[in-house]
Amino acid sequence: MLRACREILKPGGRLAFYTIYIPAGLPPDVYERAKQAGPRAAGTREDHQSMLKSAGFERIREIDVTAQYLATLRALFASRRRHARALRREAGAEELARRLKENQDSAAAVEAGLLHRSLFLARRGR
Amino acid sequence: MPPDEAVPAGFEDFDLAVRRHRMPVERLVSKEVFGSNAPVYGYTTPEQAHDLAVHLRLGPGMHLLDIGAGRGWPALYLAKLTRCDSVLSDVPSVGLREAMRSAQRERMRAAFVRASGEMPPFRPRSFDVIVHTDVL
Repeated sequence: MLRACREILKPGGRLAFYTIYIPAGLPPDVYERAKQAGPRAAGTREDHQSMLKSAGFERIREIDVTAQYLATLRALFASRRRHARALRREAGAEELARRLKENQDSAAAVEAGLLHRSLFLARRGR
Repeated sequence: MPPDEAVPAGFEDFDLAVRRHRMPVERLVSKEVFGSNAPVYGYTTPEQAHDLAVHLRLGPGMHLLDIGAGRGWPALYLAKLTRCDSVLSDVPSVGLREAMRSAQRERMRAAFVRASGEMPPFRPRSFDVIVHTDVL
């Protein structure tokens, strides 16, 4: 996909993406825990900087936003807890429990260093 | 745009998020957390969307492509903020339809293309900026 992005960018054009990823080097069972706790697209272990370079991008920067990601997960959990009665009526007890567990598992994985979120910035060369 | 169809393979999470956000209380949760009533899929806060505009030096007349645009966040926000020209692309049409309705409500001009990020149907060198959030 990054190569395709490069082709449709003008020379000097900019690419930016937020992504959630699992750091490299985790034992298989820990990796699976991280994969279960994160969104579907967080399954990759790829080094994004290398991927961008091999796709022909330059001036690559990474800005870690994991702390804000964790804050968002906690805020989602807290908000769903506050509105639990209404959510239970709206979606059912089982669905409410599932959503709360999703938030908790994701937050725990971030706290354990198993999930990160970053902003990547890059430019297509002229 | 073709009529809604079965959920494309690999987009089950997105479909679930869309269905959740149709529920009033979930929309209230989204508003409390993200500070906006606009439906949100992913974890990009308004502050982080604003950061995109700054880092990318988005401005009037620039051509922006959002890959995996979902229901229009943050592309429509960026277009409104910076007056850039935005193209929103994604595979599930249900999200793009909702993005289209949001754009119409806000009287914004934007283009909506049902396409995969792996094979974008655009001419080379079409865009000044490409964004995607929680897709890769």
